[in-house]
Amino acid sequence: MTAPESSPAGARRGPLRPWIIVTAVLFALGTVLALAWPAGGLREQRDEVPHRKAGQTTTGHRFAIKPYKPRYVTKDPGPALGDPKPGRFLVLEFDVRNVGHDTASVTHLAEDLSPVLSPGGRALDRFKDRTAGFVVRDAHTDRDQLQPGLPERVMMVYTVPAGLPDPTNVTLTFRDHVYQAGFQTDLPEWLPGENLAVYDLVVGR
Amino acid sequence: MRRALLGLLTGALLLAAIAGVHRAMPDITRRYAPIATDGEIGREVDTTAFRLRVDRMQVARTVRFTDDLNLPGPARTTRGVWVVVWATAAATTEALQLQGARLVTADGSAYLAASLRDTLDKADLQPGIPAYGALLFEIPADRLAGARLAVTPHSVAGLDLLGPAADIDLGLSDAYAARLLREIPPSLTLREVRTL
Repeated sequence: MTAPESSPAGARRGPLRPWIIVTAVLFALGTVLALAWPAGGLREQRDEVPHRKAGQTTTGHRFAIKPYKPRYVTKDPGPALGDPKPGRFLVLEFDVRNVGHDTASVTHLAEDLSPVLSPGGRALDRFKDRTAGFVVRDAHTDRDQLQPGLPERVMMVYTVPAGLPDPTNVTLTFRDHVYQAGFQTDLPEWLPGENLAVYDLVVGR
Repeated sequence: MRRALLGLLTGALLLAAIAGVHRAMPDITRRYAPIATDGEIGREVDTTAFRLRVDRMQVARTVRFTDDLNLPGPARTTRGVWVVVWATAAATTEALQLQGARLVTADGSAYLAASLRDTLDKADLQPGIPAYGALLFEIPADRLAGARLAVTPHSVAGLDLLGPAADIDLGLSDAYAARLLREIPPSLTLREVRTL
């Protein structure tokens, strides 16, 4: 009695069966689609971000804003306490409407705004350079809520960094916020979206 | 051939069952929503963390807060209407605040209580010591009908997942809301929260 002769390695390999090829192609396509879908699917890439001027409205998923002409002032228009202190300030004012479904704040709006000063080309930081942000109402600066469907006038105050000349222009980029599943959980939350508009604004005195 | 057909049929049935279960499942927001106890005006709601009774509800064009001498301060305006919900609340086992007080309108929008001072949602509630005061909201006038009060301990919704909540029917039918708006007073004065 002899043991059956083992076949040499690779002897059973023949030409690939058609269903294996079809399955592999479908799997590869499915993987590409599964990866591409969260990034916007196969839609065409958006055109360049539109440039706008003061007085023009841009509407996103959370806010609709209409900026006014910015002002450069040398007294703090929104002091937290006491009398206005002297300094160099850029004041941005907007008509804002919360078009989302829940309460937002002026701080949320500040996240969506990126002002860049000219001359100098310096971007203002919302943490380091912003000194105040509030709803302009009743001659108080203590309100910061933006309620759905209630339009408000909002003022943002930034300090002009030392060493920069007095600003004559501001390029303000307005970014969207979208309510969707987060990175670590499927629970929806407000996340940064695409840039919606770039405002070319002339600074007044 | 028969086995292949049977296999295909079984696969299709399994896929249909999976799709059915998937469709029947509530979405993730509802699965993790706070566990709400329902209530209505005049009836105390007892959640695991706090007790709440809404005593009455008013609307106004402006509100004023009293100062330390009990004198009314300047009028605070709104682009909509102020909704003032007078309520009594107490913690049950440990101190907390009701910072997640929201007015949820019929279209699903949620209005967090106004960030002004001296309202019940800002008060430190101690176990067993009830406090009485106002919850203050500003909403568009045309969203008053159908609004309900939803209360949780935190203003950040993510901190209240599967947590205690009260959901109060304010009885704002179309007719009642229209009457409130027709008879809206120009101003209401809000006194500070007091313990009972």
